[in-house]
Amino acid sequence: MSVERNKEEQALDRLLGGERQRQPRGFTVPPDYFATFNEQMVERLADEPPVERHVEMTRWQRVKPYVYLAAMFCGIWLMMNVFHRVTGGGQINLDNPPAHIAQIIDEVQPKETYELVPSLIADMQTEYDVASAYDNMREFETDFNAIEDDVADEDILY
Amino acid sequence: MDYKAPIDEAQLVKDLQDVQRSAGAFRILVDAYSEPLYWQIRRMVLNHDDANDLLQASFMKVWQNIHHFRGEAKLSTWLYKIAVNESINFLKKERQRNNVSSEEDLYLLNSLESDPYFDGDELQKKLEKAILALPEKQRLVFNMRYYDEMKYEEMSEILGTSVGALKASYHHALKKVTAAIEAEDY
Repeated sequence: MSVERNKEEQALDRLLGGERQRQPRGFTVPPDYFATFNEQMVERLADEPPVERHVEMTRWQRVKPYVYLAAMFCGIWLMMNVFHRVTGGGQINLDNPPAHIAQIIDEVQPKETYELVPSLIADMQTEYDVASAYDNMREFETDFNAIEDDVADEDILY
Repeated sequence: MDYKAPIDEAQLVKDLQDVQRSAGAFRILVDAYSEPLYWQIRRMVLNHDDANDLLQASFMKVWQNIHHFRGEAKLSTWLYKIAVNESINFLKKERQRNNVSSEEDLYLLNSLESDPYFDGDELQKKLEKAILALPEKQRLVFNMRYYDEMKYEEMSEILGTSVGALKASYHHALKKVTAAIEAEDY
């Protein structure tokens, strides 16, 4: 929409030939300049490195890092809770005095004991008795008729 | 400013910021705004080759920064701002190159006379000389208002100056240019 010219503008228009100038007179452009300008820009863009463009993130993508962080802390808390229960916790905490903590630790008994199988004890006794009766493997062979040549002259170490 | 077809600026900005559609949208942008932006730049730098370089640089800036455009101003205003800044920066460098300290860019008259894309008469040269003698901002205001009939509000967004100051600046610019044209020995 054309703006109405004020008096000063009209006076300048008259000085310049009477018509309102939309562009400075006398300025020209090469033939088809504007028609080919678009292609010039497309060619120039092809030489430019790609520009990082804004990618629209969904609501879930924005919230996801915080959800994962919260899940991680929940997992750590759960693990600590389970570990605390398994070790008979509930009595040990940071408010307890050191002596009390030491007493609780002493009271914790190992859950497993190692008991030797009676037959294994008997075997071990038998082995000891036999070994103490012989000085070398040659004597052992004579009595039991069972020896390997490569160990025949070995002394029985006991 | 006259455009070839009405542009839905909001949709164009969306398309420019969309990775899939940005290339096509950019073509539309260049097609719609290259001519008005060219004349805005050409009126400041006078020479066609310089105007062409600056116009390309302006569109490259648009391409590289469109994802920062938040739509708080009109797209056309933002484009004009970029073109004006490119012109101003160019003139600053030219002044340094020509050892000119003031903002009067009369040295540009030399390049105008040797420009193959200028065939204006003596009256036109007189007009350009009068405009070049204006301080840089006044020259911008004169060009935007006298040739483009741009609203003061839009000019205010582009130049960052109040409407009142722009009106006063234009009034002074008109008076100076008219007086220069009227002077016999200018």
